[in-house]
Amino acid sequence: MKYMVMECHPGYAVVLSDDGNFLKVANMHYEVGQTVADVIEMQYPLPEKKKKSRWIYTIAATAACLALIITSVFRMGHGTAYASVYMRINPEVRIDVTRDDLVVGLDGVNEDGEKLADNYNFTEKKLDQVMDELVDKAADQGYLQEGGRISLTLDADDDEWVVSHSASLKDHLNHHLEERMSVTIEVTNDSYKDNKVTIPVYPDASGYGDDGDSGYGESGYGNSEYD
Amino acid sequence: MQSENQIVKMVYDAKEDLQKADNLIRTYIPFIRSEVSKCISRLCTEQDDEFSIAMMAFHEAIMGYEKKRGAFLNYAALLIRSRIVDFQRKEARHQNHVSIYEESGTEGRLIIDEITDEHDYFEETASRDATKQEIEELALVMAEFGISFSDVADNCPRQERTIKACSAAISFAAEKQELLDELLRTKKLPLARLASGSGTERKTLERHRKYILAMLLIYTNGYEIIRGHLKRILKREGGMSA
Repeated sequence: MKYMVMECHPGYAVVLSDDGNFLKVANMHYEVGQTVADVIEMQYPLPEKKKKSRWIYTIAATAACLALIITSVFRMGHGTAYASVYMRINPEVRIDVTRDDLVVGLDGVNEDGEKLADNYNFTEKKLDQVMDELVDKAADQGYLQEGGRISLTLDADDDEWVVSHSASLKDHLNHHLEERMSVTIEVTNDSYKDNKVTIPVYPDASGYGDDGDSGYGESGYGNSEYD
Repeated sequence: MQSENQIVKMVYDAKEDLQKADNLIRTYIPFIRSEVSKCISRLCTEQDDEFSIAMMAFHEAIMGYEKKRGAFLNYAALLIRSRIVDFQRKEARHQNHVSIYEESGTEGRLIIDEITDEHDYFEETASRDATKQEIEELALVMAEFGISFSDVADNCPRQERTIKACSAAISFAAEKQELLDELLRTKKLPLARLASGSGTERKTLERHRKYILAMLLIYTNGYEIIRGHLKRILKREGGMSA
């Protein structure tokens, strides 16, 4: 690049480069009108305002990092699954929710459950809404009919959450379905599920008979030789 | 010996007035030479490149000084040392290059004596005088508009995008003789027409008004040598006649 010397001062010279830039450079004993090939450009001092803004950038970057950390911590507490609700109609699905009942996951537990959950968008939706919509979808697809049964199993480490939601979810679903159909809704929690005991109940087992006979015949204990 | 307060006042005055800055630099030439001598470990002369670098560093110190930086002369000395170290590092990269003032090895003759000199010094001097005259005329016209080359250098766009935007405005105006005539007649830059004609934002034009003004003055009649020097920008912009 070539530079034409335009103005000379004791401290610097002004040159015009052949690409049209005016520059302040070290005056290496230049004369006005001279053309030179190599110059040492002056380093413009940064105005104070700019230096302040550098600090602002630093502070802004620190604030952004802090915000990121705080958001991450917040999301760890509120964005990840805090509890799960297993909803069994015939299709069974697992709904993962945050502490604030925001749905963050939906999986089919069995094959029909996968079909029910397929193409369903739960983003930004609360647990109540997702349950309502899934129940409606199940009804539309013929899985849930009049006189049917919905079983909800609540799984959470927080017993308080399980207790508070057991009643509210059942009431909510009852209210949602009361004008559409009559179904039976039962709620269990995960600890009960693990310890569930099935007791066979026979149609005529409303009582054990007027005579108080258990039906198992004589125990034989009456013949004990300890008398 | 002037007190620190007096020096600080002179520095602050020099920031606002280029003539005072030049005078301040001249006053402190002994100080500048002394600082350069310390850096290069020998007596400094005004012919040394380091001296020119130090003079520029002193000017930078005037422009960049603020009271909270401490004593001005300490700040200036720091800047001088820093710039000279930068310069010496740059020069060190050329250490393996052969100087034309070294002996060529044959009969003790210098390399420069054996290089064919095709320069016509009489023609060069005449050309330089003509260029100087043209630049002085341009400086006088610019003074009528209240700007100097130093102002233009301070106002020159630095970012590639801004340079392109300003170049577009200059290209547009350079092809419109009536616009250049109007500029000379009214002594005002027709910013609205430049902005609408070139598509450059008016804000950009206003920010670099002095630079655009100087370039347009170069494209008015009578500055053929300077326009000849700018042939690279003419090629880049395309279609502009020098």
